[in-house]
Amino acid sequence: MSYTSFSYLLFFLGITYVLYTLFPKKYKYIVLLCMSYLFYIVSSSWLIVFIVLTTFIIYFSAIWIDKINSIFIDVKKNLNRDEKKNLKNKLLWQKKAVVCVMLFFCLGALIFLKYYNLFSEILNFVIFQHIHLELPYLKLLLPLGISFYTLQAISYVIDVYRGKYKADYCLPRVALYLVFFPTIVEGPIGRYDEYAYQLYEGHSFHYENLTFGCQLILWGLFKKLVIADRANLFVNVVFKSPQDYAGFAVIFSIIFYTIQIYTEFSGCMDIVRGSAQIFSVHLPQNFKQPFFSKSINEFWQRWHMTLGTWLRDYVFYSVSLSQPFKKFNQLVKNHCNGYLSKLLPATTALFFVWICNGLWHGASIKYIVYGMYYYVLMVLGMFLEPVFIKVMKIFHIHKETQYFRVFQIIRTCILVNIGMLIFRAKDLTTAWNMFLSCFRDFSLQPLSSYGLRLSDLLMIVCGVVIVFIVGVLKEKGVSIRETIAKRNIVLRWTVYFAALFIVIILGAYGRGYDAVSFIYAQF
Amino acid sequence: MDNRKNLIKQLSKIGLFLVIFFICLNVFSHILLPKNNNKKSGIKYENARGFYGERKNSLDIIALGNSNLYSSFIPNQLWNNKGYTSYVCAEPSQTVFQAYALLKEVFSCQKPQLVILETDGLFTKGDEFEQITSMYMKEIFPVFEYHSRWRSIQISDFTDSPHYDTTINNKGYVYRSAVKPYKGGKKYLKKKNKRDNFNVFNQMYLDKINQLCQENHASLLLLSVPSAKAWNYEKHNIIKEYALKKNIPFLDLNTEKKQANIDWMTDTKDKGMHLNINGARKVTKYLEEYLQKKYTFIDHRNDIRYDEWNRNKLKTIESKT
Amino acid sequence: MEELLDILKDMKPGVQFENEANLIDDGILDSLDVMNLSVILNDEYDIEITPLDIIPENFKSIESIYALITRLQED
Repeated sequence: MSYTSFSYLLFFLGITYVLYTLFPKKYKYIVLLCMSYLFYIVSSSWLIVFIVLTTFIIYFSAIWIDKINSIFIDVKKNLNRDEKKNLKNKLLWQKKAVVCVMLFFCLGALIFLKYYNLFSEILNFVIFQHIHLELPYLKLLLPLGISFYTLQAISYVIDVYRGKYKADYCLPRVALYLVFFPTIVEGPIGRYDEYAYQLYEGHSFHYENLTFGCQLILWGLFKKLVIADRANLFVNVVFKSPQDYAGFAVIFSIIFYTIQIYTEFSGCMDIVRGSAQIFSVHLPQNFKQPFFSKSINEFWQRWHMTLGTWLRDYVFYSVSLSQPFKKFNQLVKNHCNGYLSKLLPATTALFFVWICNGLWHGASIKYIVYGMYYYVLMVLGMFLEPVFIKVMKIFHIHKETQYFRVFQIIRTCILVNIGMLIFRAKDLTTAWNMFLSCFRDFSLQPLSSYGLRLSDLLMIVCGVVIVFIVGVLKEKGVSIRETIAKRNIVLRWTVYFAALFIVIILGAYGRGYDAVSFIYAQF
Repeated sequence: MDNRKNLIKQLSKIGLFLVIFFICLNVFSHILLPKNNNKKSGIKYENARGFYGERKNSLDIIALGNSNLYSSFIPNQLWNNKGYTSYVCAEPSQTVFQAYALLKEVFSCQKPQLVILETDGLFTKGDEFEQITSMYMKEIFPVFEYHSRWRSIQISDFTDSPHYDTTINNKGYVYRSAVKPYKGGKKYLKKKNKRDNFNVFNQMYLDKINQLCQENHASLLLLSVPSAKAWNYEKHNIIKEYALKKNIPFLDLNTEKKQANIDWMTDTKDKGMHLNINGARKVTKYLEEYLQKKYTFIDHRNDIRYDEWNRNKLKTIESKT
Repeated sequence: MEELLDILKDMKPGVQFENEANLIDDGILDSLDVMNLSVILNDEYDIEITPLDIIPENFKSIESIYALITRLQED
């Protein structure tokens, strides 16, 4: 079910909100839980068993880890130092075993359902065709939001394992943490300590949260319906038969796709965060004006931030602070010079992050290359840093000047656009051919040949300008919703009604605009 | 006390906001609603809405369905041979929900004796719940259906009320002459005992259509027109079961023994999905006899009030509208 | 403390670590730097920094990093 649909906005959000407000404080969580499961069943029917099983698995494995911890605390006082150490080690292995079992089931379900066909294809190609065996192709259904809730599930158990917080004995809270209906389809990927408690405790009617939440939803709808779905018309035309286009057409289609995916994904996040806010639940931000980034590194700290921090905390640090990795570090240090020994560990750990990032986005070689593309850019940046510094010294370029910053931003945007091309193109060959075709045949054709009217184009441009201005204001730390809220009621309501009817009338939905589902929902 | 005052103030603000919002929705709906039922006014799929232009209560038969129907039922042929008036209210990939909404529109100005529902629309897959919600939203606030019409808005849109009087020469039939054979023959109709399943919502709206017909004293006929790509025995079985249970006649032109004699080499325009004019003539021919045998319609060919149908006969079916 | 300062200055030349109280939030140390630093500290002080210890509070200033080291050495 799409977050821009009537059934979501009216039925799910509206009715859930009314019920939530009417229920007594103690039982409000039941409304959220029931509606979330209903949402899941309506969208995914029997596949709900997967998320329910995951809930039980993480609930019990976290409690199990807690039990192991308490054994240690109970007997700790009666032991001497060596015995303590032995016991601690023994228990550590037990805890590790529990985590592994949890990972086996949670991650296993994700890997099997999402990646089985990719892996079987690779295996068939590499090994099995030589020994006359073939893994069959399976038609697997993917449970709604499995890529998102699995990450949440893992982070909960690992945090308990690491001792960041204790296991939660309240099953409905754990269940709600995984299945909360606004976040189930596209994240953001929340953390247990940050938002499970907010979800569970009942919040009474809160005027500011309700109105601010609705405004955020409206802003998200604007980005998705007015800009993204309109840009999609043009993007689809070119990407459907890329061999027919070259030069400006291809360049613009890539830029428009970048616009589309940004306004769509961040618009969806606004709808999601707004939806949560009307229940007085504050979700983490997923986007922080990514197109003002000065480097690829910074871009990924501002784009899909909850995925980035998840990979940092549970892949990057897990790898880089593990025992085998320590040994590897030692080895590098003994055999390589300072330059290499400083960079090699970091780049090795990053490799795992980016392979996960690529694979997470989809089960095909294309997405692995997408991850590797950013990995190579980052590694190159790190290894060539001394060169850059030298070059800048020679040409007397100062890092802090305005021009240089603008240059950096544009450079980052271009690199990101190439990444988006890999992301959107049908396959790698297509992406490569489209990339090459950007550099030839710069003839201009009438707009209509791309399925785009002048009014549509103007609307996209105006929309992007508005998003840009809002972005600049946000960068300057201006809170737009609060600024508007301070104005008098006539002005304020004029703005709200104008926005509402701009979305309703100028939105690219319904007849003439094929329903475009959110790009990220399929992951 | 202060808290309570505050709450009342906030609630009344929300209330006022919603009231203004609904007023605005209605105003915009009025402006954007097409003022005539033709393509130029921007009405949704005008071909299915030509019944508005027919004289009030002059239609005997209304047929609802998707593209399979509008490429196989020719009202003008039925008129020429039997003198019954009929209209094909078929839209591309019409769902049973849209069929229901359209039937309500039909009953607002026509009093058909018979409503024919083509059954392929009962098997469209998709987000049924959303389709139903959006159907009602569009019915209550046409702005959601016609919002894109802002491009062609005129001053008269602000002042005029809708006045639907356009007629469609082909009465909803869409002429297709291309021939692209389907080479599977009768294979698609392998007899099976298994039956397909209805979606809860689809069945609910089939019930509602049935009920709506009863309320308006029209009988309902479930019809399945030949389509090698869309039809199979599982679908036949479930509809058959439903029809028996509800006591509704079900005519399956795919499986019927003395069926329309479709030759899949010459009678389809796109390899077995839709029929072309050859196929449509055969289907309509079969229906003519069936309707005459099973129902008691009046032959209007000599009735002066139906002269427009006779004049229309002179215009060929082969025109696009 | 002196030794720690040397390590930091070696890693990020040109930063006045003595006066910085928000190394993470101000973007002076990113996740790569934190990881590199942890690896070096593990080596130099024979401690074991686990992923759990990697929170902004532990790395926001030279004092807090020092406090982390002392705590882990006592463990």
